[in-house]
Parts: sequence; structure tokens; C-alpha cells
Amino acid sequence: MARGIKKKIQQAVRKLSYRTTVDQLKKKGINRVNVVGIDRISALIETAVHRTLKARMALGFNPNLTHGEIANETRAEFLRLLRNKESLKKVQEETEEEKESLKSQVASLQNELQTLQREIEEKRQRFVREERVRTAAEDQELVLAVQELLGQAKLGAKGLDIQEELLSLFLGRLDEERKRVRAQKELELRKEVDLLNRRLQKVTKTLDHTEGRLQEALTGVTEDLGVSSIYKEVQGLSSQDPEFKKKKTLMTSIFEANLELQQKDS
Amino acid sequence: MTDEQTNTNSATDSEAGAEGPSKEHGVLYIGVDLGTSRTSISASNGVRETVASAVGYPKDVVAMKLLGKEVLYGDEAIKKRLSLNLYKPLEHGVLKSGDGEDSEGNLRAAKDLLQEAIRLAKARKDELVYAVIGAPAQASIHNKKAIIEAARESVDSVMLCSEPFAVAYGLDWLEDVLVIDIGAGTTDLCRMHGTMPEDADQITLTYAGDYLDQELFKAFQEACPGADFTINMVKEIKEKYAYVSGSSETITVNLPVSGKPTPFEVTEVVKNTCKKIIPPIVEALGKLVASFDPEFQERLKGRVLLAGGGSLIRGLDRAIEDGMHQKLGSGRVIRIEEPIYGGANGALKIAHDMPEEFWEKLK
Ligand SMILES: Nc1ncnc2c1ncn2[C@@H]1O[C@H](COP(=O)(O)OP(=O)(O)OP(=O)(O)O)[C@@H](O)[C@H]1O
Ligand SMILES: [Mg+2]
Repeated sequence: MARGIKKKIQQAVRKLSYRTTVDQLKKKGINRVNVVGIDRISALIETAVHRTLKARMALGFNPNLTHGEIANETRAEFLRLLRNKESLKKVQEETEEEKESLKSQVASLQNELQTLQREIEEKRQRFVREERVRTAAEDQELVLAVQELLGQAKLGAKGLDIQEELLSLFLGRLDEERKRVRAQKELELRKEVDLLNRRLQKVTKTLDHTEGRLQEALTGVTEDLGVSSIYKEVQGLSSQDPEFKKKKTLMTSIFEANLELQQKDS
Repeated sequence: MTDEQTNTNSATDSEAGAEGPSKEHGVLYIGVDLGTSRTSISASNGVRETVASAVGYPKDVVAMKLLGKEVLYGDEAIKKRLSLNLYKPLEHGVLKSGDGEDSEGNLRAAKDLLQEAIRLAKARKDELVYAVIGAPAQASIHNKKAIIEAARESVDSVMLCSEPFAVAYGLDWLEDVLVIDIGAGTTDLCRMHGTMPEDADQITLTYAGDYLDQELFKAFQEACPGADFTINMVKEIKEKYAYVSGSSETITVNLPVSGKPTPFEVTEVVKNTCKKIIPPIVEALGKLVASFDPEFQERLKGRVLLAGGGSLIRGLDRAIEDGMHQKLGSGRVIRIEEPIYGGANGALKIAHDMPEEFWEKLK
């Protein structure tokens, strides 16, 4: 937990307290006091909050999913297939096999996704449920602890006010921390779902690609990347050309004739 | 949740490239020669292909099942024509679209053919593709639009130019040039003087490859009595032996007589028949020269380019030259290096030289 919170708790406790002397207390008929150091109070609160947080964290899930491995393997296998296309027949067969295996992988991934989503939803609900119970218990504990603490301090009638304010401060702070934990948990859950979703999309994409290749294999057209042009950029007449002017005129007249042709088009 | 997805994870990055191609990896230029009998392409990735200008569609479901394809192209289509509706969409030099013709079918076939030709260039998906198409000089505006429309479906930007112009440009002969393109359906003569050729600069003759096939067929019928043969066989013989001047070894062909292959000596028949296209060509040359600026007529006569599949007839360049000397007083004819790819190579060069902003404007 942040270092700062300890100090803040101390400040808050100090603010809530009031200053008095032993004489003044005697005058009020109070002869004995139990002294609790401000450090002790803040440590108490700190521990309470900390423990709450810890409990929440312990609920956490392991994000090291293994679903990604399936996607990776599929990908590697697919690349290999692309490289080693020895014959159309082979490509076709492999593509079909690949497709089947990808299909089943997609299906199982979809299954997993659903299961996981359900699990996550359950976890979320359980988390909420348990939090409610735990929170109530903790609140109760805290109230008791503070009551006892202040009771021992024998602060008298004024003590009730202090107790009230102290509790609302502590509980408020505790609540803030709880919210933070909740948000963090929420994020974790979402990330998990996202991750799986993305992997699923990836495998689905691979499946699409495979289906495309299968189609090509069936129609006898293997995918061909084509032959690269020797030009990386648009060329155009070189100004170094000895017949530059003449050629430029010719190019312009061809262009104009085509422009006219295409304009008549529309 | 989208924010978190940018949070990369080793299993999920390296997925780029699955998106649509960004055309940042190069520029592929394609020169296309859309011919009557043959369509050729030449591209800036070194690919050169030629496909017979024929497109076939299976006649019925059974044929489709058997052929396993919806469209067949080129020689394959010609070979399997019996089970196909076969189109030669550019026969007679233009897209057939007259009455009585299946003009819609022809148009579709032309589109399919052009797209097949462009596919043959093997463009990468991530490259810009700019194409120049050399179309028959006499193609109508309607035809040209149809050609452009078809091409635009498979390239980023496209321009048409006249085919003879492409041939000359490919050799850097920019003006005062006469191009003779002897194709299958037509022989196109085109005079060039700096700008784009106009109607008056062009003459189209039907004395071309197909004409020779017909004439040879008739001549063989006379010279080889009793022999059975088809026009396709004659065409093959022509492409193997055609010559018009100089000496040739004896040409002997085996033709079936009552089913039995029988040798016939056809040396003179081939030579005399092939010579038939020379006079009309020389005459047309004369017309184009005579109507040219007198000051440049001599220069024009000295700059005649011979292109197209028909220019492969041995000795044709010399023979036309001789004809010019007799009729026009002088003449010099040069056969281009690669008659089959002359138009495509020239179109490719035009594509290369075309300034970027022109391509952009036509996108
Ligand atoms: N070696 C050869 N000798 C003679 N003729 C040939 C030879 N090779 C091809 N041909 C002929 O050339 C013709 C095809 O030429 P080309 O490919 O230039 O025609 P095209 O461009 O399709 O037609 P067009 O220019 O009319 O549109 C055919 O008639 C073919 O028989
Ligand atoms: Mg041609």
C-alpha cells in the first residue's frame, strides 16, 4: 500500500482529536486514561485496508492462458504449408486437412471462449457476492475495533462523535480502495476475454484464408504472388531523352485523345 | 475495449498484410496489342505472353462440367470449339457489333479476353498497374470505349493508342514513318508525322494472313488433286514455309489422299500465292506517299516499317522494296525485330514514357 496513506490516516486521526491537559480531565472527573499512540491507530487502519485488498487479490485468476499456443501452432503449420506446396494435389489435400483441423480448432476455441466467458461471469458474480458479505463483516469488525479503541480511551460523550467521524472516514477510505480493486479486477477479466477473442479472430482469419486457398486449389488456380516490376516508381519521359520535346507532344496528344474518350464515356 | 486491442501481444501482431493491398510496392507497366488473331502483352516485369484472340463459353451444363471452366481462352478455346460458343471478338480488326452478330456476346468476349491478357502479365497485387493498349487503328469510338471499360476493371489506369503508332514508337521512329502491319484479318498501313494518325493517314486492307490462308487453300486444291485438308492445315503450312522472294528449298507437304499421307511439291504454289498481297500493299503505300507533304515524300519512302505476324513471310521486306522501286522510284523497308511483340513492346514504351499526372487524371 502507498506510503502516503499512513501519513494521511495519522493526520486525519490528529484532526479528529482534540487537545486537553491532565488537569482539565481531572476537573471533569476523569482520573485514569488509556493512552493509545497515533501510530497504533493508523497501523490498525492500515492493516485492515491492506488485508481487504489482499483478500481481493487472492481471488484473482491466472492470466497465463494456453489458448494462444493453439493459434501459434496453427499459424506455423499454415506457413509451412504455403512454402512447401509441391503439387496442386498435395496443396489441395493439405489445404483440406488444414481446413478441417482449423475448423475444429476454431470450434474448440469458440467453445473455450464460451466456457471462459461463463466462468468469468460466474467469478464476477461470486466476487460481488463475496465482497458484499466480506465487506459487511469487515465493516462490522472495524466498527467494533474503533469502538473498543475509543472506549478504552474513555473520551466520554465527545467520544461518540469522534467514533462517528472516525468510522465514516475509515469506511470511506476503505470503500475507495475497494472500488479500485474492483476496477482492477474488472479490467483483468476484460483483458482475458479480449485476449481470447483476438486469438479466436486470428484463427478464424486463417480459416478464411485456407478456405480461399482450397477454392483456388479446386479450380486449379494456385495463388501466385505475381512477378515484380522492375520499377518502384512511376516513370515518365526522361528529360534526358534526345527527343524529349517531340515525345512529350506525342504523349500529350495520346493523353488528350484518351481524356476525351473517357469523358464521352460518362 | 478497442483501446486495449492496440496493446500488442506476441500472438496477435504481425498480422498486417491481411488487409487490402496498398499499392506502394512498385509500378507495373503493361503494353497490350489487341489483335484480330492474337493478343500479346509485354510488361515491365519481363513477362511476355501471347494468346489467340478467341474466347469460348461452354455450350451447356454438361460441357461446363466436362471442361471444368466457365471461360476458355486462346488455343484451348479453339481446340475445344465444338463444345463451346466460340467468339473471336476482334475479327476483321474491330469489335464485331453489327446487326445479326451476337454483339453482346462479342463485347463480353472482348472484355474477358482483355482481362485474361492482363492476367497473363502476372501483376503483383501490391503494384500499381498502368496499361497502354494498342487497338486496331480503325476501331470505332464505341469499340474503344468498350475496350477501355473492360481494361479498367483490372488495371489502375489505361490508355488506348493506335497500334501502328505503338509499333513505330517502340523503335523510336517518331515521325515520317510508314508502318505496315500485316495481321490475320487486316493489313494496316499507317503514316505518321509527329502527332496521332488521322483517318487520312491510314489504309486498311483485307490482304492479310486470313486472305492468304484462303488463297493457299484454293491453290492447294488445284495443285494437290484428291488431297483432303482444312484451312487450319493450310495455315500451319503457311506459317512454316511462306516466302516470296529468293530461293527456297523444295517445299514438300504431306496431305492425305483417301486417308493415305501423300507428298506434294508446293514450292512455287506457296511463293506465287504469298506474292498476291504485295501489289495491293505497294499500291496503298503509293497512295499514302502521294498525299504526303511533297518535301518529305522521299524521306517517308525510305522509312517503311514492316510488322505483324504476316511480316514473317520470308523475303517480304525485299519484295515490297522491289515493288516500291518499280512503282514509286525508291523505297526502303525494314522488318521489325519481333513482329509478334512489336505492338506490345511499343505500347509498353509509351506506358513507360507517359507522365505520371496523365495517368492520375485518367484513374
Ligand atoms: N511465319 C509466318 N509466316 C507467315 N505468316 C505468319 C507467320 N506466323 C504468323 N503468321 C500469320 O500472321 C497472322 C497473325 O499476325 P498477327 O499476330 O500480327 O495478327 P493480329 O495482330 O492478331 O491481327 P490484326 O493485326 O489483323 O489485328 C496470321 O495470319 C498468321 O498466320
Ligand atoms: Mg496486329
